[in-house]
Amino acid sequence: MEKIKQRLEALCKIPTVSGHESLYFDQILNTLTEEEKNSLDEIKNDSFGNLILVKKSIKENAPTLMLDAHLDVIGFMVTDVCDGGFLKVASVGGIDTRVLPATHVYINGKERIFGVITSTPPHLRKGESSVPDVEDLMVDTGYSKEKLEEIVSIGDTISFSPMYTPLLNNYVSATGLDDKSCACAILDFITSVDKKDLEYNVYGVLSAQEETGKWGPARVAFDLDPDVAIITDVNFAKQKGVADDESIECGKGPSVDISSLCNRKLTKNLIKLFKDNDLDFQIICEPGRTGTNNDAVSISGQGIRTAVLSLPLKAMHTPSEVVKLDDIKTLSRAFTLIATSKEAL
Amino acid sequence: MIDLLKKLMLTPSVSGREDKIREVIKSQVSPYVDEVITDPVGNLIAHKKGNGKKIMFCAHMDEIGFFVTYITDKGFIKISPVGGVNLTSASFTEVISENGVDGVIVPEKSEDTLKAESMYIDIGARTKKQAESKVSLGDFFVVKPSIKKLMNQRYVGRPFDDRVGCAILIEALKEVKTDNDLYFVFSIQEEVGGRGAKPVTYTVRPDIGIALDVTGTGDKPGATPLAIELGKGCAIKLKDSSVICAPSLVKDMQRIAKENGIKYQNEVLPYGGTDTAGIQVTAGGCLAGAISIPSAYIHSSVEMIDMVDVKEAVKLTVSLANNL
Repeated sequence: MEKIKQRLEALCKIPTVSGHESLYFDQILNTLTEEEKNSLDEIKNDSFGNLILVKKSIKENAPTLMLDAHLDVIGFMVTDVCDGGFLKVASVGGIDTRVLPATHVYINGKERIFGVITSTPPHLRKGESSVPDVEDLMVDTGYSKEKLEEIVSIGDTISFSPMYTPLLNNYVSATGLDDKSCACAILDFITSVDKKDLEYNVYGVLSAQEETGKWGPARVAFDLDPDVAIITDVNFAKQKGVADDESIECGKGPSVDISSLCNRKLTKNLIKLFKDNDLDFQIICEPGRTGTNNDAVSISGQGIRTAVLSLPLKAMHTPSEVVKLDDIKTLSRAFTLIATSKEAL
Repeated sequence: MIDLLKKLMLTPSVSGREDKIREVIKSQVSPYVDEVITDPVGNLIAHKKGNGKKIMFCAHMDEIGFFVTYITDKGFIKISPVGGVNLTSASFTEVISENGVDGVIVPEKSEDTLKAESMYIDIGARTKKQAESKVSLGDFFVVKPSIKKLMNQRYVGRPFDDRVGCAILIEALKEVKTDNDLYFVFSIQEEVGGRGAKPVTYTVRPDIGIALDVTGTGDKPGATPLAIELGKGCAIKLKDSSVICAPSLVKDMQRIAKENGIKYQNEVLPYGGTDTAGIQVTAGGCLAGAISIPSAYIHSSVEMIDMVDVKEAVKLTVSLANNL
């Protein structure tokens, strides 16, 4: 568990705003030890910005299993550098604008500098909506315009400041847990599983641009044409303000998503496998689209057999998302069960 | 360059009906490439063979306009818009059909929000029969193409979107000198959702794909805030509503622009979409970016560009083709 905790903290602090993942591959790979890297057959990336870790079975003609978690996080892009050291911004991905005013951010310019999103004090709000549009907000840096222009250019990304706070009972609150939690589970699994046990050639994909349109892993799936792809992402955890029938519970393991865009037989196989091995899991129904990378991967190329596993997450798309570490560990164990079982897929 | 632009702009071809403009472009590019292919959906692919990187440049040859949906008993022509036509600008202007029939476009009554379904084209016919002798259902009309020089290096008219991109590609093609494997693509149906760029990217499977299209400006009264000005150079796209360009390619484009003394602006567009998005995500994906030409009043009858920006865009296209 300690290993997962440390890796997750390191991953959450890397500002992989959608479209800019490739700038941070070195930092992502630095979360692996040399020994872990050497246990892999290949580490590669593609032109789209997907990072791909490969561990092959020693068996001949083993089928291909693709695992996907997206590496990108929501954030902003600088659209103008203005007088008084303010930045105009556009949002990248579906940010919850209710929580933006007075939030701490990092501006990823020539160097990384600190900023605060502007906020109108409650005393001065005259019956205006408390939910601002991104266009109504600016980022305050405290620099002069001239100094700021030396550091920040139009098009630089802005990310939430990399907060990471352990809570009680193995919960953590951090920015970017969507979907670094699942990426952490893939890294934990693929670096620890023994090649000799693998029934499949495993491609762990840390994919690009989920938050801006689920674009990344469908490119990998097109070129790789895997026998099966398992997509992992976060899902709504039960908490105040979230209905029971639209959520899963923290601490009860990943959910198997039942959706028309997932392969039915594969989904059933996974449920049986998890039951037979006493793995904690939940079921969530997404009758149509799942809202994850699955929706693009399943129709990539000639069509690909897919299933979705999702992790319960509270306060989604805010700077303070919350996840329970035990669920990440369970997801990693689910990967091991799948990859080492001949019947799984 | 202006003569070429005129020739391209005065050949109306709305989305889905690119035949005429394709023939014009084909005759322009043929002398400078190894082969010219029209793909099954109608994209024109001009291939200049080489052993280096496979680079695809893409400008769309379609334009916005109207399709004829119905002819009334009195001989008035009802229409449906093709692409995001600015109806305020289109109303009470002269239009011309694909067969050269003149007319005017008129809203039925003056309302704050114009709808295409309550607008009609009057070609002067007295009866349905008379109108039908000149116009058939499914024919297209466009707001009359025009091009006129204003002060400085500025030109106004339509459709600069995206004949200016096509003209830049044709000019660049004459000047490139490289071993890179170049595909100059003139795509169909961009205005109705970037439909041509996707299949052509699948066919070509480039290493790098670069779209050329117009972008908005923020320097006019009441414009959406945007750090782009007419006459300050061509723009290198970082983002629009449909795409986030590959950061490594953007860096290379900026570097090559600087090394070659090309004036450019960085474009972070909070709206709009271009062929860039389709190029980036088709098949296994590729490094995708765009050169944008600042244009005021896009999709109106008075689109405005600055030739300074156009010339810089030609230089950038040539430099990228040679040095990427």
